[in-house]
Amino acid sequence: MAMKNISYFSWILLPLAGLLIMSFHNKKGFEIPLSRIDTEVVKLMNTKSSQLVELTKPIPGFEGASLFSIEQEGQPMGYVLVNRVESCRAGGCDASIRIDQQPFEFFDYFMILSLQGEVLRVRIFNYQATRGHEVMSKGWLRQFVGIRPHQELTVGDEIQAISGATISARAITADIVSQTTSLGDYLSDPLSQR
Amino acid sequence: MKYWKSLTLIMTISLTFVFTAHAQNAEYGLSNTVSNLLKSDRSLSFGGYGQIDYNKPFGNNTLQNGNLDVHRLVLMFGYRFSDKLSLVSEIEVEHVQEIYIEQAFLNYSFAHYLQVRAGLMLVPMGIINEYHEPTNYHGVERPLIDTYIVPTTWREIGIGFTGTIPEMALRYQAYLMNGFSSYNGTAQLSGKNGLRKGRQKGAESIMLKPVLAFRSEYYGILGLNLGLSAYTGQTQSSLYKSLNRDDETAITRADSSVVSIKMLGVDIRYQRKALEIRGQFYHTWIGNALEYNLFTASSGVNNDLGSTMVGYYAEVAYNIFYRAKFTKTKLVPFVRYSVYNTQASVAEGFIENEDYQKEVITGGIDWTIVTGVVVKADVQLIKPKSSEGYSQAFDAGIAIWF
Repeated sequence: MAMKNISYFSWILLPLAGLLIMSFHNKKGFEIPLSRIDTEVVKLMNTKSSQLVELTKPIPGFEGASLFSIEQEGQPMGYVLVNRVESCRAGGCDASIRIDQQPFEFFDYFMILSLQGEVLRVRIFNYQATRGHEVMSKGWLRQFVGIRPHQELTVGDEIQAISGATISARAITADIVSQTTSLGDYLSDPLSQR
Repeated sequence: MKYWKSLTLIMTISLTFVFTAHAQNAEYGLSNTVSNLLKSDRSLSFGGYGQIDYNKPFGNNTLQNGNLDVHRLVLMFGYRFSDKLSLVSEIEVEHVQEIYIEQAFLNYSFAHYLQVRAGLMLVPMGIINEYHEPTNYHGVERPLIDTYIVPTTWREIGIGFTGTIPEMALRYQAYLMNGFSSYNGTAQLSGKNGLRKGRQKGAESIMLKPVLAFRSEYYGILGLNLGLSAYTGQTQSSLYKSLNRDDETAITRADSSVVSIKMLGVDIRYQRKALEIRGQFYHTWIGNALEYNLFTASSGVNNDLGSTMVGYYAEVAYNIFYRAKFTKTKLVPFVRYSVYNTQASVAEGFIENEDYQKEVITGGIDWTIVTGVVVKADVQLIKPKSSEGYSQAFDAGIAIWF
């Protein structure tokens, strides 16, 4: 009886496991536009050059995201965080999951943060969702400047909603809140190596 | 004072909903049913909008009947044939009994920056023609310049491109479309109605040469949307039917029955927190107005189509419930000042009719119960240049959109 149950559930579990693997692949799959990040860092920090050093030590809360420290002549200047945001399911927000597809539409973004974890700049660099391109607007992304760790944000309140991009706007807002909070925890942890 | 009674009644009924109803948060940028249908991932989707109005002129010690009207009720159907190809259609019933097809087009999406559209489409001019759902503007009726200068709902059959270029925060539309009919046995254009009666609406319409319509929108600054619209082309005339190319007299005659139209529109929308500001400006140049007015003279009286038409408005609105803790609905008083003139200039030898130059002050309040349901009331004051005082009218209505 028990065996029968397992074989029965495996039909459900196997595709689910497949989806998990695929989404894991998504998470790790993005390319980091180092030269673009460097351009933005140089512009923002008003320096001639900077060095991005990837923090490879596993940090709680950063599964999937890449964190870099910005260094200039050996001195830390701030951080860069690169992450992938999942918006709607592939095939559209209303579509049912199809196993032959990547399960989620997504876009990639990076943010430049101060040494205290305050957001200084946000840019979306790889938009792969079918709709909601309006969130790429620099004017809209400027709303996140000054956001600090543990700050709660609601689309439609602190963050102005944008028509045609409701889901993408909510997705990136939630991700920025979660990433800045994790970074804040990491920075305030005395055991973390800066 | 009776009008204040009806206003109070509406407010009282409205307030009973306040504590239970919830409006979604304000969005920056407008949505319409077309954008909703195209966004939908279902193969068959539908939406719609409608408005039921009460209009009553008052003042001048005159007894007046009010009008109660199901002004329009519209159903829109969308069908997604594939990931790339969709159909959008809009069927409108006006005043309970007049049926129109307002849109019916296919949209093929190559990518977000390039989509091809063909069929019966809205002419992309200004804000209201494309976003004509009653929940998209303040006040019970559409702004008057969007009736007399831009003849909303202005639609013709055409083909063209549209898309979004997110890197530049730009949207664009560029269509080749059918133009107005200026002559169909009688004159279709005039000083009184402007271009409005010339709309062919895709109904057995005639065309010799298409027109060009273009619009672009910039949304790169938070809360701001800037639009630029342009339209250029000739009107159509039934006199070109079966014309011998060598028959110069007949061709000259037909040429006198058409005008060239160039229209430029600039619009601005700004929405931040509780504040909403809107402005629109239209300028229309009409070529060949002199010959057209002489040719379309009826019983010895020349027609009076202007050589230029101008219209503009500025509007400020403020959501007084923005900080309210007890409700998520929006209560938005607004005021709009408009000026329009269908004879901003006239052909040589003609005299401007001062009845056509109007100043309009509209003030009212909109209460958005949820996104898509708005209860409205306003007072509209209209003064033609020829008149000393303002005519007054009270409007109230409900507006729905889904």
